[in-house]
Amino acid sequence: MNKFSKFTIAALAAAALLSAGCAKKEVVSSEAGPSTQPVRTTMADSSMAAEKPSSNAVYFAFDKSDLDAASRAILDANAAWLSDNDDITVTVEGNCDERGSREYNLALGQRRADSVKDYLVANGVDASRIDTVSFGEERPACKGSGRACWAQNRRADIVSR
Amino acid sequence: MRLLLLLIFITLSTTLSAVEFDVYQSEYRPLNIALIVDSGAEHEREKMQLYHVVKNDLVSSQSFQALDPLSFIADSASTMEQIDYVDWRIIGADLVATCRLTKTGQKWQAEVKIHDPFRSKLLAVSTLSRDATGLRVLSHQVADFIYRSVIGVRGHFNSQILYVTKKGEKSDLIYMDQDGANRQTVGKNFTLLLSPDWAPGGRFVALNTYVGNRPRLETFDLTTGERVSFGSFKGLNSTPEYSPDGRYIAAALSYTGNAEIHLYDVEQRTWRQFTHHPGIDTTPTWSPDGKWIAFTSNRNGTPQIYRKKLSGGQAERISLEASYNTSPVWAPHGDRIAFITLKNWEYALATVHIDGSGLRYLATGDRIESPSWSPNGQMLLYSAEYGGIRRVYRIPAWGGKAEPVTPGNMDASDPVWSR
Repeated sequence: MNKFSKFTIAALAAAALLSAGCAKKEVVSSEAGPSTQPVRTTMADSSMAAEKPSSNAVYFAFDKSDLDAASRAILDANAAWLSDNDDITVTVEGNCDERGSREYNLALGQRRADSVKDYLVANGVDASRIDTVSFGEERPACKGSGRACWAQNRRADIVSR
Repeated sequence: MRLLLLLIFITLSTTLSAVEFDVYQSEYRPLNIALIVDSGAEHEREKMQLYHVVKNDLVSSQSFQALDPLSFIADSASTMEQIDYVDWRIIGADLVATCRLTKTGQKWQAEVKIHDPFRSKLLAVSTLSRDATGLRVLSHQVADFIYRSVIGVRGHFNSQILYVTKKGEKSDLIYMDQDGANRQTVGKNFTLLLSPDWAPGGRFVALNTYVGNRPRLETFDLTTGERVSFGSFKGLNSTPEYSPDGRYIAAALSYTGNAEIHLYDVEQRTWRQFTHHPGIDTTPTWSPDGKWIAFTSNRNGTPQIYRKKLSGGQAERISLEASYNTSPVWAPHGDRIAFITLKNWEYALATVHIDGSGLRYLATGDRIESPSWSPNGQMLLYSAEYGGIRRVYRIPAWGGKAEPVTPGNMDASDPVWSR
């Protein structure tokens, strides 16, 4: 991975951290409801409860689907959070940059989504709670060409339904 | 003379140095053709229409160059009666094709003669006919007849093309004749439309689309517009490809845990798994005899082209050069496979023999994708992006010039030529 894309990811991670406070509040308010009240109180009191992860996106090298240390750290946080919130189901969306064949990229995006799912399952999340889908290069987060954009588009997002 | 030798040397060195990134150019010189169409005075408009369709067809193949009628020495009417070959040799006509267009009752009739002035020989004669509404089809038949008589391969001028246009989040399926006539939207508002493949017979199209963020495989009936899902497994449902007899559709599915090629039996409506490998296997393409499937696989680390017998056995690697080879499409004659390859940080359209020899680079371009053969194997379609617009291009399979076949103001991708 080149310096520039590393920087891009660092910047994205920093942005995600800054917005994490807001995200946490949203989770609490969205969980408000009589039936979930006791559970929520227990979780809030427990010092063991996992925080909502600051990032739900992991990034990949060109034509690769393996997870680097940074990705595994993000997925560890997501696995912990999902283990503590077993009412939540997620879809892992695999994506690719625009280089290479669109059809091969569709398969590559699926492999990226699957490798994220496999990691989460290995870390205790029930496989039935994780769906996967690949959009190949059809839904780029960054619409444009160039290394910075491509690095953002080679990703898998964990999206809760 | 020295210049000529130099030119010969350059030509030889270009063809020999296949390791360099040279775009293949055939040494074939387009034949100069003098095209003469005659009709009664009451069919002046139809005469001009036929002339232009035939001329455009022949020139678009890049095997012919039409001579300007202003350069003709001989009078058209007298050439129709009695050709004087000398008059045509002087202006360098390799071929003279005459066509007499007549209408009898509700039928158009075209009487075609093809002459070789340099051998003072009548090469071929034929009388073709169509009903009153079929003048365009008749014109393409005339071009097909000239093409076959001269090149020795059937023409592709009465064939059709489908492609996809993406507008925001929605995609439409567009149909047109190979020369761009009769362009029309035949399928609307697909949420992504990928890898359409035309069934033999021309009525059905197999495609990959998304419904509620889930990919699935559908057949699309061009006559009724009906969409029928035939593959919606967990994970990938992609790259459908009809077998030459239309009985099976090969596709890449990943419900087994990773992308494998599976075969769908159109009659029995059953699936069976064809490849078994932990790597990615995708983009299947059938050999014309239906006995082999070639596909992309990254089983050795990078995407490469392999082929495997329908009856079983080991997958054999076809692509030998470059670290990225995808999207194989088997030629109708069976001798070559077109694919997308990476060379010197640039993606290119190339063809190669089934044994991996005779690599030819044909074209490069941003996001160059989705090769598709003409039914006679003489031309290839592909999509590429220039200046932010994706268009479909056509290039002779033996080398030559890439020409756009879709408008410059409209996104176009995933071309597929009728069989």
